[in-house]
Amino acid sequence: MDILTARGLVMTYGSTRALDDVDVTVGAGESVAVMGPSGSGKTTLLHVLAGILRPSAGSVDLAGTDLLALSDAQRTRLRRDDFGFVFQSGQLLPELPAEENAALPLLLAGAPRAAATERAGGLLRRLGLAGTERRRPGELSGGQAQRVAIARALVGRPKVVFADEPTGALDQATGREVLDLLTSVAREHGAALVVVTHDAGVARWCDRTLAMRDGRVVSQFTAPVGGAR
Amino acid sequence: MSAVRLWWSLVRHAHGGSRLPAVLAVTAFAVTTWVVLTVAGGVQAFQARAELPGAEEIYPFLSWVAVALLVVPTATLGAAAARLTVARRDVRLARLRLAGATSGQTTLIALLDAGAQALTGAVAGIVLDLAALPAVARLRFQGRTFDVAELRLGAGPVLVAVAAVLAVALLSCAVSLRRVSLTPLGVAQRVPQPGLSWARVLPVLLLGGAFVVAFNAGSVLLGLGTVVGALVLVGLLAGAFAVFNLVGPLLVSVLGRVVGARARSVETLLAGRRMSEDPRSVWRSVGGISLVTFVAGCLSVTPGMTQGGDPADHVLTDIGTGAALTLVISAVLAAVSTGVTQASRVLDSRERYRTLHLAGTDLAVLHAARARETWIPLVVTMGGAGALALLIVSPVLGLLRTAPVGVVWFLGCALAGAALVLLAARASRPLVEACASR
Repeated sequence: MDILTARGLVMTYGSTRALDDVDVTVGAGESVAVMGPSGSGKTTLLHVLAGILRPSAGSVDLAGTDLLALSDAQRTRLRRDDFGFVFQSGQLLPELPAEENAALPLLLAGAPRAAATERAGGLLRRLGLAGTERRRPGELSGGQAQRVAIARALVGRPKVVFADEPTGALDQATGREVLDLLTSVAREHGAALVVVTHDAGVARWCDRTLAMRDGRVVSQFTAPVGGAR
Repeated sequence: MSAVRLWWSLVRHAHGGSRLPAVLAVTAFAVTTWVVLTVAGGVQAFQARAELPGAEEIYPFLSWVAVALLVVPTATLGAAAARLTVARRDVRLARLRLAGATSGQTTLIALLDAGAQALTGAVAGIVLDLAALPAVARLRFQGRTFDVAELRLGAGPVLVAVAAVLAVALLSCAVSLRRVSLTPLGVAQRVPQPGLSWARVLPVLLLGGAFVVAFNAGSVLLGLGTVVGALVLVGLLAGAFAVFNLVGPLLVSVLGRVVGARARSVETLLAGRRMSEDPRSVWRSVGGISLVTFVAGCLSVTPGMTQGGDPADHVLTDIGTGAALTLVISAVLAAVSTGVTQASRVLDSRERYRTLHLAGTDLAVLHAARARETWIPLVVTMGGAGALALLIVSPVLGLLRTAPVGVVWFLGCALAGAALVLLAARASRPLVEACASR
């Protein structure tokens, strides 16, 4: 069953077409890598799918909800409650310890503090961060900080996790470790995953890969069962 | 020389959108210079009046007490403005490092930036001072208003004031740069600030000792003449203020931990954590005004003391006026300081604001958290200082049985000052919105 369906997406900036008639579907629990060179439109696609940008034309549907029919405030709430995000860096609040950083979406949604930090702590331990719950981002390595960001993205049990170059600031070995955790923990939580990357290695961790060029999806292929993982 | 040329080319090609922090920094330097010149003009006028036959000698001393009270908030504002210039620059300086600029060249560029803005602000401050002099001259002290000529400073003192503002700006800029280590890889890394030590409490004990010695040696000091006695008193006061500023961040840090531990809403949690993470910067916003609130609170009874007394005895009334004036000036300084500190913090956190907003965080939550990190410490420190002062003078209030004119006046000034600081904290909202939706 598809959880996210986008049809005929067009995004223009002046005379530039960042997205040129793009159709994308993401199945529930499926992981999709979006690849392509710089300027191919992959980050724009991620922002449109996540309801951050409003496309010039086309539609985005999340489990029966038309994203483009929602108000700005409704889309903000939807991003908080139904989506999770992992960016390249710079998303953790320096003043909060790891478990509060991870619990932030639940706290923002009004969850009781004890329950929120307990759930975040469980996720951090699942991500191999036992013992670092009270550390602040400045005391964590780049890989540890990205794992806290993954915990934060998944803590609210989102339907879809969007990751924009999540390993861009990490060395290769740490990047692979982080990707492995991101895909497997998202799968355990039943969350679909959309990863934007220009690293060909990332595709090996995903069920399907979309290749983009000049704002169009030029090819897509599905990983063999079991993949190269 | 190449760094100077590079800096000039960067200044010329600055984008319109990146000018807001520069405008804020120049405004802060202008206010700093204006306050320095106004206060120095006041000291000059009181000193000149004291040399007239039959004049009260206490006025120059009182004006120096006001100077001692205003030194910290004024220097704080100058330093906050300099930090703002660095906050805005760190990413660009890091890119310059990547392009091959040496650490010395990037430091020089940053110092030129801060220096140029301080100088522009200082010139604006001089103009502001000249424009405001007629209004300041209407203040009544010693039963009469001032002549503008009494308050106008000569070229020498003005140059000294400008040099002092420049020195504070350059020094703060150099210290801020130390906290941003610009690696040749082009990464602007925030060096974590060292934690606060309980050793900050030690000077309190030392100062307590100094007070005991001074009180016991009171007669000896009086024997040395009024000038030495006044100097010792002003020195002790300045020491007390310095200690207050050492202990203040520690108080904010403890308060932050308590607020953070008990927070039920995410806004309060963020505010509490922020207070314990960087208590120095939070203290910068509230410290100066709290200190003056305490002193003004203690002096608030003085106008009442003259009622029914000799109408010619204007010293006590003047002390009350001076206290209220010092409170108003420090409120203005604290407000500009808060505005500038908040703006540089928003600029430092622009990437986080953007990602938080993308991930569905309401901007209202971010605004509320920033408001709380200002008003919680403000209410606790300023309210605490005011209440403590009134507690100390309450026996006098009871004895006087006069209408508590001074106290009402004091409370009004304090509330207006607090409101001004809170308004200044709100002023960076558009900046948050711009950073979040970039």
